[in-house]
Amino acid sequence: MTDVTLSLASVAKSFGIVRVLEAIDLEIARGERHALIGPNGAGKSTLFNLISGAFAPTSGTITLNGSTIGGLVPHKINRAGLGRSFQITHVFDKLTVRENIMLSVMGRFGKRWSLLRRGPVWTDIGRETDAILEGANLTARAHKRAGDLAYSEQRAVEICMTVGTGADLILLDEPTAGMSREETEHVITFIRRMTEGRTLVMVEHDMDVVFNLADRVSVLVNGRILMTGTPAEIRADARVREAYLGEGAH
Amino acid sequence: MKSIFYILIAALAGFLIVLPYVGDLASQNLAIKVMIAAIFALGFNLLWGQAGLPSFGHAAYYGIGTFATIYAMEAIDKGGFLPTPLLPLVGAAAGFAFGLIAGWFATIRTGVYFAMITVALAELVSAIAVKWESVFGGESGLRSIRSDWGPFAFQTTTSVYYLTLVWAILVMLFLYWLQGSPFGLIVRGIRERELRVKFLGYDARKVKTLVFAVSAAVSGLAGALLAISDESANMVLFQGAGSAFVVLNTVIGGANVFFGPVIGAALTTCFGYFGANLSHFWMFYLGVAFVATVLFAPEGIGGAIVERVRQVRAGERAPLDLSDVVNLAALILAIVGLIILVEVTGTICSESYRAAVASGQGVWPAVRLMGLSFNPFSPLTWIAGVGGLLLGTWVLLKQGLAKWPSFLRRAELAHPVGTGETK
Repeated sequence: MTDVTLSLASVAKSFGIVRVLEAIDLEIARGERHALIGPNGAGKSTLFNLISGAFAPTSGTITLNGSTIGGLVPHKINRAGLGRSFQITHVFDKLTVRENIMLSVMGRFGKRWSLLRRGPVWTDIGRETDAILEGANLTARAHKRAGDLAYSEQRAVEICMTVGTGADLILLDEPTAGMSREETEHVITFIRRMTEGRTLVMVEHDMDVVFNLADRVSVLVNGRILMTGTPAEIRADARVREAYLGEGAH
Repeated sequence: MKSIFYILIAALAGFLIVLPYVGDLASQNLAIKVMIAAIFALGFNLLWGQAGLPSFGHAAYYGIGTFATIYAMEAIDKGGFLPTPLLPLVGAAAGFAFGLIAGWFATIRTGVYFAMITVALAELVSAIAVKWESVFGGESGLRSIRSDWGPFAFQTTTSVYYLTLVWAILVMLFLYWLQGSPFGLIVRGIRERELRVKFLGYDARKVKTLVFAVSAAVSGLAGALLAISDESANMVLFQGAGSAFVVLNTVIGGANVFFGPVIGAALTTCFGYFGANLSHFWMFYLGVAFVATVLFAPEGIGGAIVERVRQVRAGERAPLDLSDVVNLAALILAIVGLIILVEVTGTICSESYRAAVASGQGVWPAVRLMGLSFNPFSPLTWIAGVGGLLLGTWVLLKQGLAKWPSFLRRAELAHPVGTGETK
């Protein structure tokens, strides 16, 4: 069991009488890159919100590295080792890029109430922040306001912040949404590099990204997992095609 | 540009230090009131400008600071050991304690609901202050006296002035430092995107509660200085006007600039001091200034100054040029137009004017204003008023000093090509 990072056991979520997710079972191994695909309204974002703590599941258990996180508040889940990004870019517009990253790194070093910026730990925080900036090619942008960056750069900042908290499970919600083809290819390389040695779960619509990046894929349809398998298996499966073609034909 | 800034700061510091030697008692009292209002506004703006939390009930913590300090002064007078110069800490502690409780409640909700809880709590405190006469002294309020401490005597206005000045500087340094601290970074993060902060592992609710308490503590400190200055406290302090004034000061001065609230507090306090003697309608003008700022220049005076400095630094314009003269002229024109309209309308609607009309057999006497006579039946009066106001405002909007609020900016939709506006 130790090589399982995230485990969902019969997780369900209802909003009032609407059952959005029913009986989701999913195990994600350490170091795996897992993609969630499915038509709009299948419940992908809801599942993300349950795992990251935005909502509490109606029933079922979610465990991260062996400890239950289902129903905890977001900051507790983050401290348990989970970082997430958002479908709509969530950077701190009026803070500089460096401040954005620093905010995520500070917490990892336990500096959540610090009034002073002194001592060796702050040297480490500064060094780690600069290393992340360097790794994302954002050093030249460090002192620009995040809101003034180009869209694709803001997405990069967002991924840096998600990784910067030191989380070993990363949830990315449509990381390539709204990007051009070249930008997308750039982001795939970037995600692969940034999540090296971590576990990744992502929601993605772009099949090229999914098949390029993911080790395994889960197809979510109408609040249930239709199937889980390698990209090749998913591509070959008739039910998946039907689900997507049905969606496409309206 | 930086040297100019330092020269300005040095000049201001020099002015504040020598004020008691060059100014009379009234000017010292005014300066004390300005500094107290400035501290209060800075404390309020920690919550609003930094954390993005709108509190419309900050008079409660200000008043609590004042009353706590009056009680402490009474204790010193009866032989207590607290040094008089440290009295403001009593107000700060009282504000902090109440702020912690109020903040815990208010931060249960966000946005407009947060604001409503702050209003409700302030009303609650105000209602209690009315009921508990034995604690708050009823309508006549409470009095106490300043005690000397060691070699320091606090009987003169000058001594109070310097005490207030020292505390004002300390509070400013503290808040400025807090803003730049790692904790301040988290607070600004909450203002920008609270959800993101939560998902970065921070307990946003606790951070907000603490910021609320610190903001209330600074407000309580301002209230304490008022107690020291006036040697009295009255339950009027808890009424809504106090909460409204601090919002007004902050908005006029500019909430996004550290010194903005200080500018706003200085202007409105001085305006209240001088304007109250000049016109019955000074509060109305203040209201107009507030509404005009919110609609046409939401960044406030501080924001305008910062923007100008940025432009000059970037070499986009000269520090001062012809357009400033035009803007100033237009602003004066608009204000004069407004004054004519308000004073003439206000005067002819007043009871004393009705009496004058009745005694003059129905003849409406002219209204004396700025050394001129304005006949209420002459179209010229109204043309001058409306014309001045509209023309001045039009020029300001045209020049770009004032901006149409976004919901009135139809032109922007029609012409998507940028007009040079950054926002």
